Formats: sequence, structure tokens, C-alpha cells
Amino acid sequence: MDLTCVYRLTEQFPLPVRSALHRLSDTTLEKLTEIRLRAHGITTVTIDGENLYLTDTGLCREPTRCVRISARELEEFLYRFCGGSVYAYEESIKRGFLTRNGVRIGLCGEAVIKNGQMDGFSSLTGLCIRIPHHVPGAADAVLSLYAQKGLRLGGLLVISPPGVGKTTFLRDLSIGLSRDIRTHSINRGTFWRVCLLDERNEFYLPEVFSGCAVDVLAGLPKAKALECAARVLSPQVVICDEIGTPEDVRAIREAHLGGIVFAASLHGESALAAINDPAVGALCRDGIFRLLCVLERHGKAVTCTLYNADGEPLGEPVC
Amino acid sequence: MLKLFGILLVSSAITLYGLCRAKDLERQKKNRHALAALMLHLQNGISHGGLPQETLYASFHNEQLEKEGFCAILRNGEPGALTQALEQTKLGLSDNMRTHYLELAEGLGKSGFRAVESERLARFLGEIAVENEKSDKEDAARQMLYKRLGLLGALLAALLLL
Repeated sequence: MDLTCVYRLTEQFPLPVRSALHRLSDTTLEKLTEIRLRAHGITTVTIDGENLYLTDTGLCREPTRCVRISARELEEFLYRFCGGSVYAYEESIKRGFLTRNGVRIGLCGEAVIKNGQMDGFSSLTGLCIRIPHHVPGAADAVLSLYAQKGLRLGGLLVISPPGVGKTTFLRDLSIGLSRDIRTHSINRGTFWRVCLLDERNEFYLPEVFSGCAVDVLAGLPKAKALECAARVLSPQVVICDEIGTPEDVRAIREAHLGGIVFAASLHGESALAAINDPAVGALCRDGIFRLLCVLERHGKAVTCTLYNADGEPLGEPVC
Repeated sequence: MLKLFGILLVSSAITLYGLCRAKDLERQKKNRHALAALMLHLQNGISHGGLPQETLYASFHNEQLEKEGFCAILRNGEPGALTQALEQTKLGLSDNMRTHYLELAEGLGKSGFRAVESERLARFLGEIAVENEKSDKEDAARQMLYKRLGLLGALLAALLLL
């Protein structure tokens, strides 16, 4: 993994966090998926799915000598992260997060409510920083199927609990479908027009997507983006993250009538749970998603198990 | 002959000094107005487009501030670019106005609300418009004074040397 993103982010952190992160090796930094900063609280990190304390001397499983920062340092970090323009992220702050250069920050604090809707935060108490990862080959198991059967294979639904790697999986899938599909099959030297609906600006990493036939619609709600993409971008495949709302389901159904194949992700534990969900289950029954891919974390490894639309496994889990 | 040449030299030097001081005041006036134009550019960009400061600085062009090296610092893309530019260039602002600008620059962009930033800039623009008008009037009088003093000084020097 290219560590440029982590290094760039590290320089923006408050001094105690920066010093602690500088003590970590590149190998550890590569595995870093989350950093949680809390005002006057402890700082924790997630590495390979394991939660650890960030201490003066590095990482620890015991909460002794934890790195702590003040509320002012927390706000200063956010100011630097936003390039000195926090207001420019107002719309996403209203939804509880902000994203820059693929790094997503979830915000915690005292919310300001206006007309029954969240309007922002009056004070911040914590930040959850998600570091994007590109894992080449993460979606190989599915890509080889698409390479053999083409888009006849139908839509794909990736299911996993938060933090297991749905976005990483879909990112690799979009790269594969739009550029590298030929590496999975000798007979098909082709690629597809892929449209990426990046609602929270966390999918698209310019350095990773260079050379891909991917069109990106960023920052738009999925239903709107899908309507826009279907109308003007004529995609063959649409990839989007975390579907679930009735609007998303309606928009997917409409776009599917136009012949678009979907790959989307869903928060969930199992294929059966997804099929039993009324809205998502209906999409499976109608043939919009014919392949379900369940990601599970087992220690440091993530496995991928494929199911058909009826929830029957299609083989053994693949690492 | 040599004496006459010397008198001419001294008189010219005193006149030019007066003119230079007047020209410097003119430069300061241009800088003040250019900064006000920058603030207006920021206010428009923030209130209408919610654009980040980085983008707004990149799209701001002003010959006067370019000459002063102010725009080059603004475009470095760092969060505190405006503060840096104010601190690193000599625009000839009065202490009061400089403090005012630095206070604004320190707080700019820290709020998560566009409306807050925009209103703050609008209020600031109102305040500096009054300050600028006052300074313009004072400077116009001082410019005239420097020019006249330069000429009178040159005449006095010529008389004394003769």
C-alpha cells in the first residue's frame, strides 16, 4: 500500500499523536485502518480489526500512558485537515462526517438541530478517522467469475459488518471491471464502462484509478446520482456503497430496467439476513443482485464467501 | 559651476525624497484597496459557492498584490496562508488595520458554517470600508504635504547653499 496518504495525514495530527505515530513502523502504518481521537480522552487505533491504545511508546493493549489531546487540538486538527476551510464541508458535516482525499472523518460532539434536522456541531468531542486502503486482488474471486461469464452474471451485493472491507472490495472490483478484467481471462481482452457513485467521497482515489475507464459521480445522494448516471453516462456497470434506503432501492430498480448491472454493498452479517430484508430481498428475488458476497474477518484475514440470490453457498470461503 | 551643480543635486534629491514618500503612500492605498477586493472575493466565494480558501486564493488575481508577492504566498495551499501572507509582506498597513486583518485571518475557515464565515467577512468589509475611506483622506493630505515639503525643502536648501 502506498503510505503517502498516511504520511500526509500524520503531519496534520496534534503533536502528541504525531510523535506516537512516528514511532510506528511502516508495516504497522500500512495496516492502520482507523484512528480515533477524543478530546481529553484516550486515542485508539484499529489495526487488522483489532482495537489498540496509542501510547507515548507506540501501541499497547493496556490503557497506560495513552496519548491524550485537548478539545482545542482536536479542532486545530480538523481545521488543518480541511485545508483551513471547515465551512466548505458544511453539507457533509450536517450528515456527521467529512471526507478529503479519500480519508473519511466521522464526527462526534454536540449537534445543532434546526427544523428537526442536524445542522452541524456546536462542539466536537471526538473524531473517527478512516484511512482508505487499496488492496490489489481483493475482488479477484468475483472478477474471475465476471471474466468468464461477462455481465450476464448479473449484479453483486457485498455484505459485511462495518470495517471489514466492503469499500476496499468494491474499489478493487471497479478497477478490475474497468481496466484489468483481461488479466482474469485469456479470451476476453475487454473492459466495461463503470460508473462509481461516490456519495461520501471515500471511494475514489486518484492515484489508484488512473488508467481506469471509471466515471465518478461524487458527493451526490445515491438515488440522485443514479438517475443522473443512467441518463447521461450510459454505464454498463454501476458501483455504489451501502444501499438500504427505499429511495436507493427504487432508483436501482428503475436503472436496472435500462440494463445496468449493479455492484453495491450492504451492512450486514450474513446472506440470509440480507435476503430477509424486505427491500434488499426483493432486489435479489427480481434478479437485480444474483450474486451475494459475504466478507468476514477471521483474525487478521478477511474471507469472501459467495452465495446465489437464494442464499445458497456457491463454494468454500476464499481469502 | 561646481557649486551650482551641487545645489541642483541637493535640491533634486530633496524633491525626489518628497515625491517618493508620496508615492509610497499611494502604494499603501492601492494595497489597502486590493486587500479589500480580496476580502470581497472571499466573501462572495464562501457565501455563494462554499468554496475552500485554497480555491478562492488560486482564482484571485490582483496586479498590485502580485507585485508585493502577497498572492504567491496565498497560493501555497497551506491552511494559514492569509496569516502568512500578511506577516511576510510589507503592505504598509497601519498597525490597527494590520491587527484587524490578522485577527480575521486567524479565525477564517474555522467555523463549520458558511453563513458564519460569510457574515463575519461582510461585517469586516463594512469596517474596513470606513477605515479605508478615513485613511484615503488622510493619505491624500499627507501626499500633498510630502510633495510640497519636498519642493519647499529643495528651495530652502538652494537658498542656503547659494
